[in-house]
Amino acid sequence: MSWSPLLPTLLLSLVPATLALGALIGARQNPARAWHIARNTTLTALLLSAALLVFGLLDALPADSAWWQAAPLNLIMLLLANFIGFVVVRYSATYLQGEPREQRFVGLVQAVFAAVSVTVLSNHLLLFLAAWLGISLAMHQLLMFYPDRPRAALAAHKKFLFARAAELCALVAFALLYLHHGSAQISTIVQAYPGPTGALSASEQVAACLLALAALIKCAQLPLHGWLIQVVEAPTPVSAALHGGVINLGGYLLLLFSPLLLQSAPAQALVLVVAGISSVLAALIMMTRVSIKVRLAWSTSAQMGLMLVEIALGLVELALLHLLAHSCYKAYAFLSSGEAVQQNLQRRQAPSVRPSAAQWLGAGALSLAMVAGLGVLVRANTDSSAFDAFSPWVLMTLALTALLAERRSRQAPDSGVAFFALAALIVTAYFALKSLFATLLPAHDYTPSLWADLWISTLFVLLFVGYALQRYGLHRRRIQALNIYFYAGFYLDEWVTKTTLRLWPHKLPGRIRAKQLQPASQEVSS
Amino acid sequence: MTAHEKASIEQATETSLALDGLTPAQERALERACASVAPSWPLDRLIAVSPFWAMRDERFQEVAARLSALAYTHCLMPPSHYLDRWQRGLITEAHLTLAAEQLDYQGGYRNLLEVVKTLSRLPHWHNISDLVDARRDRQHKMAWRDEITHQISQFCAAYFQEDGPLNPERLSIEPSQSLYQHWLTVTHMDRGIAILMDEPGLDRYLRNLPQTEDGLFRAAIEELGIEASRLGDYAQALLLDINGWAAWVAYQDWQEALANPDTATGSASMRSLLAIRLAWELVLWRYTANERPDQAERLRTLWQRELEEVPELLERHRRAQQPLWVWQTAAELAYQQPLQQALSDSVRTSPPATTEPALQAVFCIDVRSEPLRRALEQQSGAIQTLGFAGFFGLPLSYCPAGASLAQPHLPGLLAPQITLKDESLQGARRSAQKLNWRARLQEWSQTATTTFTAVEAGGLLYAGKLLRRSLAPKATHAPQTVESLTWQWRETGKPLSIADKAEIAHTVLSAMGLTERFAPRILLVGHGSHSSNNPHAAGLECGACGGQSGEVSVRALAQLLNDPAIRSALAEAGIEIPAQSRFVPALHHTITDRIELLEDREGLPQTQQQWLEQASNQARRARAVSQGLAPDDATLSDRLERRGADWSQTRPEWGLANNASFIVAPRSVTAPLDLEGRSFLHDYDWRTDRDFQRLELIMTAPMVVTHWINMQYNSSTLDNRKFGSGNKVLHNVVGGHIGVFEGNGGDLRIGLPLQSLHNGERWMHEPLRLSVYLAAPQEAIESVIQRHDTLRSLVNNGWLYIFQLNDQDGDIHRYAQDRWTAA
Repeated sequence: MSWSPLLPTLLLSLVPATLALGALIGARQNPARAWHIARNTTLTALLLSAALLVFGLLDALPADSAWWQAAPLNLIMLLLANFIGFVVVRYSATYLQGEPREQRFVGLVQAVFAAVSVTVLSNHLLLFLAAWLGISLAMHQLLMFYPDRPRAALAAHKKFLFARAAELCALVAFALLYLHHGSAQISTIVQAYPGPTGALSASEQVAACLLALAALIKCAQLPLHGWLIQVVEAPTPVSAALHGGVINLGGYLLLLFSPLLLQSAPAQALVLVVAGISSVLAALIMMTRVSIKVRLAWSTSAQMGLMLVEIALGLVELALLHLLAHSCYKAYAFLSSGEAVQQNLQRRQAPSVRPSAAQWLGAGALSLAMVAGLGVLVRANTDSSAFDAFSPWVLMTLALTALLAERRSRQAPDSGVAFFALAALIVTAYFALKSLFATLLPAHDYTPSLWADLWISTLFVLLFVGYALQRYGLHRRRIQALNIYFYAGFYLDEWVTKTTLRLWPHKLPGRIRAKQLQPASQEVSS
Repeated sequence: MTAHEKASIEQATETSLALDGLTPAQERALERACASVAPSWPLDRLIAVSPFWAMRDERFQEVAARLSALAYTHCLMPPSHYLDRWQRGLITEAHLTLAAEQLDYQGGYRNLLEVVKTLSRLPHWHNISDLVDARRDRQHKMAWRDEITHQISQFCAAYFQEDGPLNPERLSIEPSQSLYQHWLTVTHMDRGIAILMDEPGLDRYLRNLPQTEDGLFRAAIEELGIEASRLGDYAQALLLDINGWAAWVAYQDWQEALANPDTATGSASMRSLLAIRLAWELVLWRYTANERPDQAERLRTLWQRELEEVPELLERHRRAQQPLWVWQTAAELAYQQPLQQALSDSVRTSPPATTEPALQAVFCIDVRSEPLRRALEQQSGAIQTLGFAGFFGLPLSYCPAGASLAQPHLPGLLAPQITLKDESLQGARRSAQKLNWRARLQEWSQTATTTFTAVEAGGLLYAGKLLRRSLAPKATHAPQTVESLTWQWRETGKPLSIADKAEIAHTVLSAMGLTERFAPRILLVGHGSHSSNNPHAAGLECGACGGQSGEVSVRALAQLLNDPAIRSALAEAGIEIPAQSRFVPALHHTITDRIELLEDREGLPQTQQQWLEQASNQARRARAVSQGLAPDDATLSDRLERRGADWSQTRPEWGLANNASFIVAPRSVTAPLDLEGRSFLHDYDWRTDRDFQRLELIMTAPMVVTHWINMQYNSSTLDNRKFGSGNKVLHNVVGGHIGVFEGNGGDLRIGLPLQSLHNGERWMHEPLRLSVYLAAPQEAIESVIQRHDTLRSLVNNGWLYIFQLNDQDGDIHRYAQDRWTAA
């Protein structure tokens, strides 16, 4: 098929252009009309992105031009972003009916997804950075949808500062890469790292570390996670857009530059340590949380950690799968968070029974057999690299162990077959998806170092132990004392908040409808 | 901390410990404050409660003034609301004059601008945390008041949640350790707040707090210099600061009292909660005194002035609110007068119903039944409808097949006596497997180690779910399978005998006044509301069924009354149900106004089914406008169905909004009237009520429930910040089912969400105190009121209106301050 060289660029530009246009036109209409427009623009953008992905997979699109990049990774991300945008807009059109600043929301949400579309498509460092900044600024306005809520303001203030820090990191990294390669085209830069080459120069190492740092900050890794937890002060669809779409961009940045990252041991180490620990701690802290949205937010922090770890281990296909699956899962979880009451009732109607030691062992052995069996089968019959890194399979074994061991309730003490079948299905689905995504991404022959693999496996085992202690050992005094630290989030956010306010003060809005002191002493009224 | 400061803290602690116990006056003050909190039910059993219930012994005006002075809480609408009604001609000069006369108020009230000015100038009570905040560097530091609320709130959630990290049972903490002591232990270990507030010395002050509640009360009263006469108000102000959790604790106590009516004692947990809040005051006081000497003197002065000026403050608020009470009363008169006129006219003109009905339909007293009943009656003269509380008097709790948990299906005032279990052996096993499967998968996808794998292996499935729910929402409601019900006494677990069941059936029928003239078909219509993704869904269900759908109750009752063995036992006791009469259970879907026959559709002749359909259509059309839909839309029914299934819908229906009256009379009196869905209707004919026992039952149970509903809607409208749960788009479910936070944290929020009361442009509920009309002799009504302190309080303290409707001459009299006056 022959394309006019301009046509692909035009088609790709159409996606963000449609959304941006919707935001602009909608601003002058009444809310009902603005929503109508937004529903149409997001639908158009969704259909366009789907069509583009099909073209891309059929190799009918040139992979890159001066401004745009249309590799499968970019097109998948484009489709994901516009899918979330489409869902969020349809949801909000009813959900936010009658909110005083409804109209502002319509414009901003389209602006966010327009900027996301530009970011995931851009092939130019500056365009990437500008769009990245744009997302952050538009998102900031959405997070401040209720400007008089003190906690919303505090969270947004923190996020504002961290986001600028992340962008500064990216800016410096980009500048270094530009100076080194003499090109601002992302595809050119990335293609310079096709496989294990010689040692990187100092400036490349620094750039890799800065990119890793930017991703860690954007993905709300400990200790800079507080804002992500506290921005549930914004309407539910904003959380869905944030957790299902925008937060992934840190991961996308690393995925994009993964060829560089995988050659820089210090950058990998940085990610493996920070994101690894973050992921485990955030998952355990999540278990001590009392409200549904806050739990979901901690879970995002943990999931992002795992995704970054996977990239640093060279499991980019798994990371991409994770990114997509998590986006859909988390967007759904937030949008349906009102069902928490019903879900809680379901759990109370069938409380679980604590497994005995023998049941634990049996479940563990069975899970191990399943995973190992699959491993042997795959190794013997294919040349798949799926089992080169073993830490993902450690996690899988532990998860299946929990599934099989904790499968009984008082009223249903003998359920078995269905759960075994499910376990088998999970292993198979996981392997199949991982292999499928590997075909979508450029092949690379990277094997993670044994140490990295061991480190992450250890963290997973610790996570499992921590979970079991939290769930079954809480009657012991020592575990209680430890759990208090998890309950307190290790004071990390408190410390960060205090320091932030000290370094960069911010006048938070006062309490809504503050009480009044006597008129005589009104100068101190709160 | 210097040695000197340390010594002074220790000294302070010692002096306080050296004191004797609390004086009786102090005890009384604390008790009064602790007893001032009304309970709030969990979300899965959400029923309406009056947040003022525990303060009913005082006049509403006094309560309103105190709440306003202590917590800046509104019990009246803002002047602009009344002005608007005046401008629209709904409140007139005559109403105002009469209202002022009724309230015996001579002052000025016409100039609402003046009222606005007075109200805006009123000072309010301040806790120590408020005063400290006023001097705080808010550019660099967080506010105390919000952080204290947050700390207590997070602690309470972690403590009360069944699988919470601080749940006393999970931690196997000795039962002797109180809530306060547990809080102390946790707070000692937690350094977070000292770091966050940037006050490094704070930990020491928390560690120096007395070990028991009494110790704390003594120390605080002594050091803060609180006289007994001020203690009650101060304690109440502190509890109002954590109003939501106080209501949750009150709920725990309420359940305790229902379960053990004889041994129930005063609330220990409420005292603990108060102690926790007071402990923060004491910590801030000591901290300021020792660490911030520059502010200590000022704080002392301000605090003393706060204490001194309480009585004057209350008086100022009372006086400032008086004009608004005139307007409020006028608004109520504006509602009552035309209604009374219509009721009187109806009595004077209506011919007694004589035709033998072909279909009787018993509806719940819920205000949503009224338009549908009216529509149904218009289909044919052979239809008779009745109104009765939707649980039909069955004191049930229901355990679905294979489940471990039984939910009560009766009003919150009562304790369930019977457990209804659904257990055909095969079905129960299958159902248990299904429940287990769902619960385990849910846990598996949400716990720490497994959530990663769950997301990677199954997360993409959610793309399909997102798409389906965005494009084609489907109702998830599956009718309950009630195949083989077993009836057990809840206490003993023994099954009910035929005689037991017959006795229950007898009580129910007598209470309904349905003991003769049975029609061939008797429809028992419960009601339910199927909204999606709605934490407050139970609030739209049947309140008389404890926030559950009425389905179980009507099905159980129909089974009971159709049972030949029970019928013959009933016949022996004097209630003869003709063999051809059949009871048919049905469900009124309140979002769509559809009436669903719950068992075989053949149970009802074709023509009668048509009546139901036409009535639903008519009722639906009448309601469409209030839901922003066109009445003549042919797809109205589908639209409403989708509305219920839509996961993004925050206003599935208006529930009981705009309720204003409770009419206890034969249906023939109210049948000719269009009551606009604002009235609870209870059928009652005093001529068949020997000893007025049924009247007493109605006035002590359904009337109280309707008052609770009325006050729930009123209070959530009047002050959604304190008595309502705020904005739905920010709701964040706490502890699985305990309640919601608005956003990230803060106090537990109780009451109704904003979206249940407001359509984005205006309020859908007008707060009017409930007007109760009783068609019964004055002496009978008066004697019931005089026998029940609760009723006397409600009537005499202005929480509701009681009118007697004379069903012979149509005259209406009002009962207030222990006497009757012509209305």
